[in-house]
Amino acid sequence: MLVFTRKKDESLVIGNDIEVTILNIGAGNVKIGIQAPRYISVHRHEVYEAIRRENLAAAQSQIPKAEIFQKLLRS
Amino acid sequence: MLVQTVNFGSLEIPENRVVTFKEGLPGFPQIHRFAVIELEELRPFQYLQSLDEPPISLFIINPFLIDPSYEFRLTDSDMEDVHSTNSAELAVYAVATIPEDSGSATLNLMAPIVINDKDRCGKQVILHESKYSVKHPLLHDAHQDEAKAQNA
Repeated sequence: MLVFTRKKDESLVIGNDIEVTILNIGAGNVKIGIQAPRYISVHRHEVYEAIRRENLAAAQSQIPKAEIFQKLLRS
Repeated sequence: MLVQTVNFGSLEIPENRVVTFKEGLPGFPQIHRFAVIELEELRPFQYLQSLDEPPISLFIINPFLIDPSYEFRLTDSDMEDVHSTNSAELAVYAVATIPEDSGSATLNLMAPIVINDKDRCGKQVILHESKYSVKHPLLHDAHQDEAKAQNA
């Protein structure tokens, strides 16, 4: 892993069109700004990971049983 | 095309029902082509079947059936990804996770699937600043009612 030390308002350039700026440094957190083309998706790791894991679990789903349809219709 | 589904044998999918997910789905980035399959015996669920390897399928449902107040905002880049300028023309689905015990099934309301039927393109949108969970109970109200009844 490449490691850089940056101060507030300093940035990094990745490739030709991505810029990562340190906007603010707080106690225990940093605020980061990312400028990237729209086709690059940027996500918080834990959010993306939760969705990835849920998709993998969903792909193992069982065929819903009759009870579920009855309850869905009732509610 | 004839597609071998995970749960429902082989089904004929017309070419014009193929939906392209440019980025795949989180967990399945290599799958780009899917079809939404409707089967009478599955209603109100539908079936999102991969047409690329590996063969996966997801049970999906109209989230507004489960939570009529469900709402989210699509970003400009989400709209661009599904070639749309009008969110009203998009179909919205939530992915269900259905374990052996169907009663504890959940819906992923944090990452709805949005499909532009006209251009046949789709995306699983990630709602960053949302209050919604990846594990929203499918039978939320029914369970609450039961719990209330038991406590009464």
